[in-house]
Amino acid sequence: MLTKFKMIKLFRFIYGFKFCPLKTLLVSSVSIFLLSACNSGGVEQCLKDETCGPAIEVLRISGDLPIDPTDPLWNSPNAPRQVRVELEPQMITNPKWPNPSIRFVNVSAVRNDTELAIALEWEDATKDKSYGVSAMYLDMAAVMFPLKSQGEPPAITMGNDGDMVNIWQWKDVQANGNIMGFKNKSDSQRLSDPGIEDLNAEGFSTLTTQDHQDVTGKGFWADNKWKLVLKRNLKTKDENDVQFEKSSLMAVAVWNGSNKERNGQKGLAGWLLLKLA
Amino acid sequence: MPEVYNWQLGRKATYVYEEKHPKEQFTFVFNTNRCIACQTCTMAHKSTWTFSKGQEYMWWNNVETKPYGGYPQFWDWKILKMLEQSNPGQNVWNVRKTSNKAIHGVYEGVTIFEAPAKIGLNQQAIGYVPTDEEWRFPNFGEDTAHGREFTQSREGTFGGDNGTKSVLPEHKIWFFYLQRICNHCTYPGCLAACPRKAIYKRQEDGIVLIDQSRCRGYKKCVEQCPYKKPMFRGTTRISEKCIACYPRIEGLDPLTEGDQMETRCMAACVGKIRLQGLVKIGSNGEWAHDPDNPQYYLIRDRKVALPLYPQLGTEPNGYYVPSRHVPRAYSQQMFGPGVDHSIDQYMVPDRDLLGVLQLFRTTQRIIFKWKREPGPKIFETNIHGKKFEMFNDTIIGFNRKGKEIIRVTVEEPFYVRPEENVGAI
Repeated sequence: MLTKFKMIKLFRFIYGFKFCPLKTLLVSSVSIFLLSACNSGGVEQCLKDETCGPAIEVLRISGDLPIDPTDPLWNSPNAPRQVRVELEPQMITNPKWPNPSIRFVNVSAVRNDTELAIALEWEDATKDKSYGVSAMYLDMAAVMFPLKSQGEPPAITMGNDGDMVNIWQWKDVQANGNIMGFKNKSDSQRLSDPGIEDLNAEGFSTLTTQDHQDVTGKGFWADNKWKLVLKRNLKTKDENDVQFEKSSLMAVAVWNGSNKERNGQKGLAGWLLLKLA
Repeated sequence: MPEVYNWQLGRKATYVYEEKHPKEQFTFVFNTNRCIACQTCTMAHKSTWTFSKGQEYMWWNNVETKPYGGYPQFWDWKILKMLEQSNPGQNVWNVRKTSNKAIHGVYEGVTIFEAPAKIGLNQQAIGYVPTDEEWRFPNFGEDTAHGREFTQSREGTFGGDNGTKSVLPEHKIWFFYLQRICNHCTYPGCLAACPRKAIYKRQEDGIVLIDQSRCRGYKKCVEQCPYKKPMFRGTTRISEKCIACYPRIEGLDPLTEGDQMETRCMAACVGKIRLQGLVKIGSNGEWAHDPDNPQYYLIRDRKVALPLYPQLGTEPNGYYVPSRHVPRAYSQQMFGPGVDHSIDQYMVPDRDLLGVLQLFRTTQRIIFKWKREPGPKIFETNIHGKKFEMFNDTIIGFNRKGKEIIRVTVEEPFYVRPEENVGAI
């Protein structure tokens, strides 16, 4: 993976400005609270004093973590507490996106001894089938974590040079009667494809699928609402994966297919605190 | 944004990245006068590259009937309209400024890369994503002629209102075929638009490719290529485009044992309208002076072959001999201000030009150099008041190493089938 990244960096045309959360704040009109909260004292301090934006309390249970969003665990009175997070426009890089159509996402999380599951829930009146052969715009969502837990947090812009982030992205690939595919997959593989990718990035244009995929999950749409669960082991052997030894920063993004949202055209929030107990 | 020199516009123009050039550039010349729209090129392409699931609607090579046809439908109307709306009435050429650095004059309007700043648009270039319907009928408008007189003609023939016939140099009733592949532009719109930087221009031959392992299917290239040649594939969720048959360009086709070959669509051309090659780029980024190269000769030396919609600003590397019977204003909109000069040359060609025109589609191998050996005079006439003499010269084409690969004469040899074979197929 590292070699892959170095190669990509060779080809990259570096943007003229340095990635830094403060500058990010200046050039964008993105919520000051969400993006500036982590500036003082770096990730460590921020995790310690919990000043990193809204905190998502990770409920600890002893049983299995179901990836089915319709499972009672996610819908009972004992379900983990949902935090309503506001999604902001993406006004940092072209193509800018001043009006994302999804403005709120409810985030909750649960863990057991070995695994972590994150649930996202947002209102979307269209389960998108609004694509044909020549164009396709899918509903998507992602969560992002810094790889490091010390120093300044990586830029919210998918990390920055030398500051890698780990991204878990989900796409509604089961739209259109299970026929749309994923690259390099056979038809039968596509039929069972949950549409989840485990990725890394070091800034714009560097998003890369990992060789080793560790994330599972499932999306479910009903009553004008998407419910999505993403699950992974707390610890993995992949050096490019975030390791959940303690609390972590987390960012969230949601794309609405019917609004032709893709790439930087999304609603996003970060950094939040994923508080492990 | 950086400024780059665009020789087709005769000026510097803004682009997303700094000016950079390959060692050689893939170019081609299409003679629209010769095309019969048999679509053999289209099928040669299709059967080579886009025969799989998800690629059904893809025609990296297509031939459309102008003025009404287009694949995708109305692609040029739409981008020209957007360009016009971004800078109303100002997108004009100044031919008085013609010089060595501006061989077709200077374009004083805006390009697709300059238009966004004019209208406050936050993207690299103006553009749009065509709909499924627009992609669906690649030969819509086939053979539909333009000309009011046609519909009003009482005789129901190609006559005018008062029985006046359409005569050259311009026909009142007209259509022509426009053959299109990716132009492998010097300043590609697709490359500029890609937020992933998944599109690159090859250093060795200037061929523009989408890295299939980097593409994530955002369709920005589809949106911002003005020629609409990148296409999205639903089954892989990523985009694809014409790859200029690069294995053949590299000489990897076993047929010629290492000799560099023309693309499939060029080699299949029945009408002998196509000639493709590679031109050398000098260290200053300019085309190196090389009139012995048939591409350089037709495009830069004789200015007979002209770029397609140069005003869009991508410096496309597909060049066209404009159709001689089409109203000049239409052709000038499509090929720039060099149309009159081109047609003057083409209608009454001298011995060299007539010679090079014989090389089209005579060999699958790329011709890097041509030479003419004089022959006897065989014909003489007047064309629009100009004297024209034809000589049966011999034209020889050479490969990169200087080895002869083709030899043709201006007058095609006449073969008489022996009596015993009459009736044989």
